[in-house]
Amino acid sequence: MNAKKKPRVLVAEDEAHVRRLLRSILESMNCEVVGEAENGKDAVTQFLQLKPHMLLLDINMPLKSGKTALAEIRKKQPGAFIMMITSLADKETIIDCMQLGAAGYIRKDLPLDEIKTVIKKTWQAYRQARA
Amino acid sequence: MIKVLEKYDLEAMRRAIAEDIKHQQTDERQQKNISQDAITALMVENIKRKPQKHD
Repeated sequence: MNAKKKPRVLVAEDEAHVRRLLRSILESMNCEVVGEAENGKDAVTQFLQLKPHMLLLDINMPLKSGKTALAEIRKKQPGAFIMMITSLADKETIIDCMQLGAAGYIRKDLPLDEIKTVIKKTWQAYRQARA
Repeated sequence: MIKVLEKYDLEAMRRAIAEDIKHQQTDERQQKNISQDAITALMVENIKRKPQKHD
């Protein structure tokens, strides 16, 4: 995204092939993937240790759901930029995530280019709001 | 009854049915999915409305 300072990203997703896919998408966008978590508990731990600029967080994960992880991280880091990744995009789930502090929301069924566009658009809006 | 129990793994069948129901419920919820464009517009608007605090 920004050539000077690569956004550091943590990917939290329980399915290995989706993690690989997200990593390749992010790297093609000039982001640095600093960690990968395969459950919600690990996502919270790694986020607090690694302090990435961005977290892509799956909603349905073992040990701790993405929503619980989102709430815990936002409580400790109110400015954290977290985008949810899920195959469920019904109104209730989206509103729940927004209320818990999610900055963005990505449907897993999107084509790769659209996933990139969503990440870019949401990240830019966030950066502008903080400028 | 004993023969039936011996012939079929009823617990495995119960688990398979429960799994089917779970998938069916997920499919039904996915039918209510909102378009990504609408979600992104909502999220971006929300970010603009409530600027994040610096850490």
